[in-house]
Amino acid sequence: MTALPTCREVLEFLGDYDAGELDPMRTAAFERHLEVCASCRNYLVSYRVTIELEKDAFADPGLSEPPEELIAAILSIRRTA
Amino acid sequence: MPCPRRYLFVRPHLLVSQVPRRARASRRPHRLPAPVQPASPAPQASPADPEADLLARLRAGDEAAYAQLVREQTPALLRVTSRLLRSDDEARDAVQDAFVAAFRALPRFRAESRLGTWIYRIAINAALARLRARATVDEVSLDEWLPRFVEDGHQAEPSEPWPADAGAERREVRERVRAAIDRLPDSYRTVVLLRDIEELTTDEAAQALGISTGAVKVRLHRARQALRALLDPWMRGEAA
Repeated sequence: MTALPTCREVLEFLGDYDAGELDPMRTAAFERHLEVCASCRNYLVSYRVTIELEKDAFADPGLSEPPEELIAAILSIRRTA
Repeated sequence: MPCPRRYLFVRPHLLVSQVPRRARASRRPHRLPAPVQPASPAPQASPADPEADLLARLRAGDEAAYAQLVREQTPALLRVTSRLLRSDDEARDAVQDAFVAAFRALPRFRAESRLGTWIYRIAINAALARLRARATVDEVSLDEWLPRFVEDGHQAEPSEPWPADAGAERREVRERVRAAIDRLPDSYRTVVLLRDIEELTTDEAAQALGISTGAVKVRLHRARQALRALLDPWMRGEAA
């Protein structure tokens, strides 16, 4: 059985763990640590929430009509190239 | 009309990345459509295939086709270049760079990805080229936002849970998160934008940034940790 990792090891490789990129032995060891460490469980949950918030941060509808002067400038370059 | 500004900072080897983006189920409305078709022979004009029709018209030099392409793609390109450059003026210049590069590369475009996806990549590379060309600024360290540990490896300050209803006010949350992303050093901010916001794969982000996939993974993890730390007081209601 793989030794129980420390909080430092868990948080350092949390991204790999969360992406499912750790080998099964190490994943099991991480999960044993998470079972007994509320602080790392809290960290994992807030880390995942952070990623979801990031992905949502730019979801506001943005510009839909392109600026006419930019369109004209690009097409002008195209015609003179 | 004044002569439009014209820049060609895009690195030739970064111009044409035609690796198809992995199709993702969670694409949001502001995204460009994921590439759907594998490599195909030279497209033939056909009413049933508007993309192939447009490409054929572009290759024939049809001015209306160029106008259609520029008009359709510019809003999405401005969004991504604005996020990367944090300057509307520079974003416009980067979009211009991207179209100039795309027009030149069009004869070599092999339709292995959608036209829009291809130009979108070129625009990302144009924005990154501009970012690299800026005067070097001392980057702040992420260290103060990374977790700290005591000698035996335990967290120095235990992580507290975030309330389930934290961030219920969506617009304010988005502003907070965008502000937090803007506080990151560029080398981390660009990785977050390319991987988590633009949803490039690790390989694609590494290629665009000219760094290893390992470096992309490390920077992404640290950037997410820093963002978590920046949001933590507010999410727990300890900061206004």
